[in-house]
Amino acid sequence: MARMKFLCDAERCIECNGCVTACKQEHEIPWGVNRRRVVTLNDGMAGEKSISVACMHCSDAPCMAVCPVDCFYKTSEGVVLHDKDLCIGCGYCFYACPFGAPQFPQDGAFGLRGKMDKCTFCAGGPEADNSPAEFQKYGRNRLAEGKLPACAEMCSTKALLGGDGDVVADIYRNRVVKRGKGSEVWGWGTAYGRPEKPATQGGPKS
Amino acid sequence: MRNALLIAGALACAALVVGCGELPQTTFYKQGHYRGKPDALAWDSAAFKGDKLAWEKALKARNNLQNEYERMGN
Repeated sequence: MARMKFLCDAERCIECNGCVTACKQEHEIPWGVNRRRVVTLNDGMAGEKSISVACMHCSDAPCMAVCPVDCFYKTSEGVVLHDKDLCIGCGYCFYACPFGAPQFPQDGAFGLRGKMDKCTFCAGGPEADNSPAEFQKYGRNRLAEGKLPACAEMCSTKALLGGDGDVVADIYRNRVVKRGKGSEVWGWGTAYGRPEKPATQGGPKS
Repeated sequence: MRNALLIAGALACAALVVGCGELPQTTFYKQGHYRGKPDALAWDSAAFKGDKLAWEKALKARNNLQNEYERMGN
């Protein structure tokens, strides 16, 4: 088994927020905490693109590097998780994360910052698998049930892919080939458009 | 006395060489050590009872279901 990864296909994402809803429903996430969200570039303009963003479970995770209490760990499948019993809610991981993945529940009249909460790749946390304690702190452990993250499995257009990085890459590569476009649809050009080239040469319509 | 002067001269030369050298500018990052509770492996759950192969097979099947080209045939 390779590393677990998410991949969002900006050509397919329709900004339905189904992934966000699936995540919230699956883990019973409180108000104010969004483990996953949909970001739209050039919103309202022709050719806008959306991508679904959550913790990317980085190979060299900056949150792990900056945590003063070393509450982060990585599973053998490359999923970055943390121990909420150790977390002090300092917020360093939020500043370090380039994706804004760490979330802090706001509670009380003075905006008390609670313990960090983030996408677990539906892999729970350091409590007994599928136990009430694990669900309460980290949400459902779908990986232990042999399932993939709810957001990816619920995605109606299959824009959001999740799972074994090699398989996800194969699915996406196959998709790109079937579209009839080349490697230029990968990455920056897909997300931000290619104004220097007409759409007929493979760039996204804008 | 002469030896002492030679050693001092050699040290001064070495210091000069070191001063002209280039030191690495990149920060050395040392991986922290996780201090929390240990986590069980995903396939050690009640559903798979330690059978890693069965777990991988289940995940692979789910993974391939995301490929609609495979589901509806080429």
